[in-house]
Parts: sequence; C-alpha cells; structure tokens
Amino acid sequence: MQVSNQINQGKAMQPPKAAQALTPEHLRRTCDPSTIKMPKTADIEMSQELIGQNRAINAIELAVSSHHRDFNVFVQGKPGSGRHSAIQRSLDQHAQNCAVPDDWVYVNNFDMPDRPRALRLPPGVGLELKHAMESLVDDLANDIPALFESEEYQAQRHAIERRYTEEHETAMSALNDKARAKDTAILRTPMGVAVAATRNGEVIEPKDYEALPAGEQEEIKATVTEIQQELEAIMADAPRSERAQRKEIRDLNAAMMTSGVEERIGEIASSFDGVTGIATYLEEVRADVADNADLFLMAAMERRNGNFPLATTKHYEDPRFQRYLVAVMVSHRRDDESGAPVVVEDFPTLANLIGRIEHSQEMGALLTDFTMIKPGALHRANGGFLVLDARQVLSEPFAWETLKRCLKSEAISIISVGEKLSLATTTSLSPDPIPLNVRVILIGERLLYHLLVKFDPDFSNLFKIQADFSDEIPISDINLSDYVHLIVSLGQGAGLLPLDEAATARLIEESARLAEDAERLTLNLGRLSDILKEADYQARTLAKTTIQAIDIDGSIGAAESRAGRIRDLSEEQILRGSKKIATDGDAIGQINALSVIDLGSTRFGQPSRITARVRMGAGKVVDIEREVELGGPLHSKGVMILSGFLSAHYAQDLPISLWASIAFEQSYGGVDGDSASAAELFALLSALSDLPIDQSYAVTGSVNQFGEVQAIGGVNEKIEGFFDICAARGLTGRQGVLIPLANVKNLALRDRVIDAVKRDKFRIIPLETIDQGISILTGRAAGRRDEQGAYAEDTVNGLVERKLQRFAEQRRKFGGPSDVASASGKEKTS
Amino acid sequence: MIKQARSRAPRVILGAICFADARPAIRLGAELAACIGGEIRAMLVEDDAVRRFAALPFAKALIQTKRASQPITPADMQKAFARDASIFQETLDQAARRAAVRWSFEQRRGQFIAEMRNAASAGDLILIGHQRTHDPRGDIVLFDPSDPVDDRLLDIGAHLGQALGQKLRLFVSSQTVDAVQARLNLWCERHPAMPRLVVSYQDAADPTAFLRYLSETRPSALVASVGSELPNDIDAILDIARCPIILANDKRTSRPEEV
Repeated sequence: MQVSNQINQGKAMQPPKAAQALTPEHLRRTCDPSTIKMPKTADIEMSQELIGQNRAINAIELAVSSHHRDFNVFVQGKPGSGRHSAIQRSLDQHAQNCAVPDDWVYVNNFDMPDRPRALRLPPGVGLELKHAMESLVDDLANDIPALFESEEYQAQRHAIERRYTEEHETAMSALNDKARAKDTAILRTPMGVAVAATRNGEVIEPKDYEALPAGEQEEIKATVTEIQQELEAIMADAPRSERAQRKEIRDLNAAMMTSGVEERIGEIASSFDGVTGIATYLEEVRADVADNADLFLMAAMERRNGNFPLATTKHYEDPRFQRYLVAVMVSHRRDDESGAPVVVEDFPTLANLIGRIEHSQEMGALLTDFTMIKPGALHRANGGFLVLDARQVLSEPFAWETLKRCLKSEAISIISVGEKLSLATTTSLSPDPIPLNVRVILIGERLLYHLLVKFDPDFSNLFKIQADFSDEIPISDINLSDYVHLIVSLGQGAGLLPLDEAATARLIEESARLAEDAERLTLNLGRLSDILKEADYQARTLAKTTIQAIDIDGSIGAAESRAGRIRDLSEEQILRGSKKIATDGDAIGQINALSVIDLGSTRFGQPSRITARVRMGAGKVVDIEREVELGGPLHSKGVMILSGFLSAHYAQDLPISLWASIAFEQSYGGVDGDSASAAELFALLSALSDLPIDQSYAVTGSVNQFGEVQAIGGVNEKIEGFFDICAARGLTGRQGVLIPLANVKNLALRDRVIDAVKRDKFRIIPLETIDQGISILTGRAAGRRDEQGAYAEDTVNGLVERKLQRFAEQRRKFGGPSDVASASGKEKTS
Repeated sequence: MIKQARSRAPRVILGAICFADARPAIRLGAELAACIGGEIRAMLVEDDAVRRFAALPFAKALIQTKRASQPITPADMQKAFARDASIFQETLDQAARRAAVRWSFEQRRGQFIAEMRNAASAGDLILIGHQRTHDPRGDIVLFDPSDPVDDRLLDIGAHLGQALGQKLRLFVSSQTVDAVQARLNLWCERHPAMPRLVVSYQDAADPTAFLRYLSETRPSALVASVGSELPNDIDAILDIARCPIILANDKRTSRPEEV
C-alpha cells in the first residue's frame, strides 16, 4: 500500500452536532499530499484494471467466457465510467484465447439464382477461394475461346460435319444418278421436292403421258413411286442425321471443355482438398461452365477488337462471369493472433447490422445478384463479440427487432426495410441464412435497461447478464492507493505531464465533490480526465514539468467559468434586485429556499424566496405551483407531507380550520423535488406564529410527517449559490445555510466558502428536526408540550397552535357545510 | 468496292423456282449487290418443268413438314408459286434494306435457266438460288480455268469469303496461282478492315475432282463466269453442288441490255 487513508487525519474531527454551526473541517475532507506516494511506471501497468468495478467486470467476464447463447450482456452505467475501455480490454484479452472463427461466403446457386448458397469455410479459405475463382474465370475466358479456335477442335468438328454431309449428299447424289438412269428427275418445287418422269431429259408432257399405253404408264408410275419412296427415306433420315450430328458436336464441345476446364478446376479443387463444400461447389461450376461455353466465346468475340489485349483483361469483372465469383461475407487470417473478432458498430442501422443486398441500375431496372450481398456487423462479429450502443440500436428503425430476431433464431437473414414494409417490388434475393454465434454487449444507461426489462419481454431472455458500473467507490486505504494509480495511469495514457503529490491530493478532493460524498470518490473517469487534460494544458503554458495543485484548481475554475454564464446571469438578477432575495433583516412568512439548476455539463445553486399566507379555512394548504401546473409530483408530495405534519403536530382535538397558500416567488419555470419542503414548512410556521424569519439564512432539506429533516441532493452547489449572493452583497457574519444533518457527509465545498466559515463570516448549520430550524430562524424556542400537553405560549409551537385554535373557533361561529365549501381552494386570497 | 466501267449500275439477277431455293441466296445477293455497288433484280420463275409435272396425274410432292409425299394439282402448285413469291419479295425487301441496296422483283414463267440468262445483261451477276439441307458452313468455291483469271470473279470471291467468314477455295489453272494470289493480296490491302481471308487452291484442269468436291462437300456458294468452261451444264452443276451459284455475265456472251 503506497497511500494510506490520510484524509483529515492531520486533525481530530468532532462529529457534527445538530443545530450547531459546522467547523471548517466538516466542510470538505482534505487529502494530505505528504501521505501520497506516487507509483512507479512499472506499477502503472498493473493498474489497467478499473477500480471499484469488480461487480461489473465479473459480469462481463462471465458473459464473454460463457458458452450459453443467451448470456448476452447489458452494460449499464454513466458515461465516463470507463465502460467502453473496460469492455474493450476484457474482450481483447478473452478473444485472444478464442479460436479464429470460420469464414462465410456466398456463392451462386446455379439451380435457383435468387437463393444464393452460404458456404462455411475454414479461416482464411474464403478469400483464397475468392481469388482462386477470379483467377479461374480469367483463365477460362482466355482458354475456352482458344480451345474452340484451335486447329484440333476445328479439324474434329469439320470431320464430323463432313461425315454427316457426305452421308446425306452421297445418298442424294446416288438417288439423283438413279433417277436420271430411270428417266426421272428430282425437282424442287414450291410445294416440296418431287420426282417427275422425263423424256429426253425433260419432264414428260401430260398429254404425252396420257398417250402412252396403260402398261407403260404403270411402269413409269412404279418407277416414280420407287424413286419417291427412296427420296422420302433419305429426307426422313435428314432430321435424325442432324440430331446425331448436333450430339456429336456437343460431345466434342464437352470433351474440349473437359480437357481445358476440368484440369483447371481440378487444380483449384486439389488446392482446397478436404474443405467441405468446395468440391461440390466446384463440380457445379464445372457443369455450368460446360453448359455455358457460349458465354466465354461471345465475350471473347466482343473483346477481340477492344482496347486491351484479351489476356490482360480482368474478365471476372464481366457481369456474365459473376455467376462464378465468390462473395466473401467474412474472412479471417488463419494465423490471426487476435483470435475471435471484436466488432464495435458505432452506427447500428438495420443494414449495418445484418448486411444488405445492393442493386445496380440497368436500363431503368434495378438488378441484383449474390455478388451484391454486403456483410453487416453481425457477419463480421460472428464467432466473436459485438459491442453496440443500446440507445443507437433502439433508435434505428427495425434494428432492435432484427437484432433480437437474429439472436433468437441464431441465424443472420438479410432483409431490407423496403422488403419489410413491402415497398420494394424489384428483383431481390433470399440468401441462405448464416448460422450466428455471437456474444452481444449492449452499452447503455440504467434507465434504458429498466425500460427494456419492463416493456420488452424478449430482453430478459436474450440479455441475461447485466454489468452495472458503479458511479463511485468508498474511500478506504486500498481504494485510495488504487485511485492514485488510476489517476497516474489516466495521465500517462493521455500523454500528460506527471502530477505531483499535491495535485494528486487536490484531484482526489475534487473526486469526492464530484461523487457528492466526502466518503466516496467518483468513478467518472471522463470528468477526471478532462480536469487532468486542462491542468496539463495550463502547466505546459507555464513551462512546468509537472502538474501542480494550482493547475488542478485552475482547470476546475476555468471549466466552471466557461459554463457559468447562466449562473452569473441568475446572480446578477438577484444582485440588481430584479429577483427579490433578502440576505439580511427578517420577515413573516418568507424564507430563502435553495434549488439546483442542472444544465447537463454544469449545475449551480440559487436561492428562491418562498412565501406563505394563512387565514381561517377548511384545512387546506394550497400549493400554488401545483395549482398552475408548475410543480412536479415530488414537490406536491412535499407540500402534502407538511400538511400532514401540521395536522398531527398541532390542535389535534380540533379540526384544522386553516387555509394556507405557499408559493415560490418569481418562479416562472417548473419546480420539482421535495428539498424545499422544510423551507416551506418554516415559512408556514412563521406565518401561523406571526414570528419573523431571519432572512440571513437560507434553508434546504425535506421534511417528513414527524418533522424530521431529511437529506437532499446538490447540497454543495446550494450552499455556494447562497454564499455567492451573500458574499457579493457583503458577508455580515449572521448569514448561513441550514442543511439536513444527514447531508454533512456530502459536503465538499469550495475554498471560498470554507475561508468565510473560518473567518466566522458564514455559517452552515445542520438540522435534525423542524423544531431546531424554526428556533434558529425565529430566535424563539420551538417549544415542547408540557405535562398537560400544551405548548408554552411564547414558543413558536405555542403561537402556531393558538392561531390554529382561533381559526377553528372562528370557523365554528360560521358553522354549516356551505362555509366549508366556500373555504375551498377556489376562494380568493387577500 | 468493285469498280465498273459502266454507266448503268450493275445488277445481281437473283432467281429461284421456289422460296426454299431463294432464301439462302437472298443474303448472298444483298452482299453481292453491296459489293458491286449495284442493285438486285429478283425473280421467281414458274419453271415449265414444274408446271408440267404438276399436271401429271400421279404428281406428288414430298412436303418436308409432313415427311410424306402428297398428291398435288396444277392449282395447288399455282397457289404455292404465289405464296412463295410473296415471301420471297418480303424477305428480299428486309435483306436489301439492311444492305442498303435497291431491289426489284418479278414473277416469270418459262424455262428457269433460260429466263435467268434472258434477264441478265452484260456485266450482271446471275445468282441462282438453291435450297440447303444443312447449315451453310462450306467454302466459297470459285471456278475459273482461264488464264488470266477474271479479276472480277476474284474480287467477288474475296468479298464473299470475307463477308461470310468462309474460306475461299479456288479452282484455277496452276499457271495462274501467283497472279491470283497477287490479286487477292491487293484486295486485302484495299480492305484492311475486313476479316482475314483464307485461301486454298486446286487445279481446275481436273473436272472430275471439281465435281466430286462439289458433290461431297457443302459449298456456301459457287462462283463462276457464264463463259467459263464448267464441266457440266448449269442444271447438272446445280444438282451436284446443291448450293447457290453466282455466274458473272460476260459482255461477249450477253444479250443486249433490256430497257
């Protein structure tokens, strides 16, 4: 241990007492620089782990190590808590020990081109197959035309054609000779081929034929019929002969293709020997190439007169040959040392998650094929880890639903928004779904997590691990030591100047303020890093070699100053009297309450005047903010609680016959929270008792029905907000803030407040009860019930009870239900 | 383009007895007309022999689609002539438009070869159509045993060989081979954009070899001169070659030009 818990160890600190002003030691726990031992560089390496986040880190470890499909993890926590870096570090370490996942590619489905086939291949083989197929297409585009132009092919083809021609021609020639020898001729006529009898080489005249004796006519007729039958036989044989010829030529083509293509495809097949699926695919390619040799011949013919030599053209870019290409969805290096993929998708649209099918425009039509399938983050992360921002996924149309569908079905199916909404009528594809095995890490806010748990029944089933990053850690010896490591490593990681011990101590004090708890340190590393970076800038500006405490203070002050325009305007309104806030004197039914304005990057406190007016009525306390719908539910709850307090605390044997109104004066925006309920009660008690409240005080705290003052948030900003107004007007020594005792541990005030307290110019007084507060504010004892159950007359409580009794008596005099009705909130106040 | 020392545009006289014979010759005719810068005069001849045959009582024709001989009458034949003439004219129109050449068409009666000769004037090319039973893949055959070989025939042969992408097979006298080759080289130099011309030679002195070649192969076309000493008459050559025949009409043998 290099740092011991030396916060406030230099001086024994008394515990705070209710209704007594706090000492400066209570106002901010300080860290003694002399007790800090800065770590060596070698030790910094060890501090890569986040401190105080064991619960979240263990959850992430479980999620990334588990093989259960539904152990996806939702990482929740505030921005700047180091969630991303912790996840990245954890995933990187774990992924190294995981196997490199398989490659996935899409290839053409030669039977159904609209349903591309997915091939699972060993790591690295996807790209190798892609390049091999491109090379194959290039080779075939050169080889096939060359094969068909070769002397060998032409000679064989010519021989086949010649043989069939000769068969036919020889038969026809012989028939012609025979016909001539038998005084007949074969004629070509518009009605077909015919056999005619001839005399002296000329077709016989019909009248000459008629003049012939019957026997001779019969002889001629028989001869013609004979030749005719032979002619019919030859002609009938022609189609069969042509079919046989075509078949022989087809067989010749196939044989040529086989000799040229099969050898080349065989080379590829042997280079992927043993890889499941490739042999079958290559066989399909071989069959398709053999059937589509014309594609290669046509392409060769078209390119022969092109600008580039055939041999140097990238033929695989020709759309005709894309049927033989390989669309790589994901491919990993076989020797990839990073192991399983870790993919961070910053823009998780539907298409970026599951991939998309692109289209090309051709003659006004949108066309696509399997080569236009583009992978998404799920493809790239398959077999590994996918990190997504929950808000982004939920805000992208269809992204969340699609992610869930993929996780549930354990498969990636590509679908477009157009298809989902039935908007697209163009040609599309239905690629094989790719089996999915991915661990999804969603990073988001706690609110999102709880909303998803509540409203999405699938969420809890799919994201069974939650990793909740803490916002702060308790101060302990071990934690402080680790925290110093963390600060130093943050600086080193950002390339900043080293911090000296005082600067480190100052940053630790600021960390407690950021945690709003003197007993805890913030884990908002983003904010700490910002302070360090600006301090580094300031130190370098002054040519320092280390960051000093003054630089840390300068950094914090500058950041507050930059964000302080609204705060300054608010203060200015008060100081110029536009907004009425009294910081001295006294007034009945009027008190300074404190509120916090949160602007996201900064917040500050400001005083508000609360007033209360009372009269006889039907027991109603009107919250004016609520009536005009400027009050939130928590504020209304606070007002109702103080009604409960009044009812139970005073004149219990009489009906409450009070009509009271409470308002935040000059408040034109919404008011919420119950931190002003104590102030509202003080104003009401003042109005009921007719005792003035000392306006040197401001009050913050909520109250319960028993009159106990309870803790609130933003106590430091509230005190400083009132202090700054008082300081601007001149500190009187009476001024101060009443806070809940429970908030003392949250105090981490700025030096200017602590200095004033040290000089007795300002007071901070903790309260446990309303009675303590009203005593301080009015300078009159609150009073306790005596043995008869009555308050002493000159006490605050006595005066209040008497006023309530008087209201009850007055009301009794009026009597009747109509008066009760008239005492509703609708009557006008004077 | 073949230069003609004529004032009138040379013609390709394209004739056939039926459309089946005319069809393979129509593209050839268009190519030839474009080559000589002339026009096509086409005719369907109602051949006397066919008409006589149709009038015989036992006349039958083998209709290819039915693969059997059917009895025919003169009226049937007349209708068939009319039908073929119509298709012939229509197909010619399309081919001529593609080749950008002028054309005319007529239907005649008479003896086919005689009608063709009668229609031809000096310098015309006679193209006799003939039906093919197989796809045309054979050579362009040129027959001219004279010395010197008719340059016009060579130019026609070279043009068709290049335009149809077929080999040019020359049946010429062995003494003329060098001169023929020189002429063909000159042709190719003048037409560098045309595809390569493949030429082979055979001696025309052996008519038997010539006829056997015609009988056993499938020429795309036979090119000869009307005045050349073909070893047989045109009808017989047509029966043997069974391909379109192009005859270059010689001035000395031609009839006076028709008006």
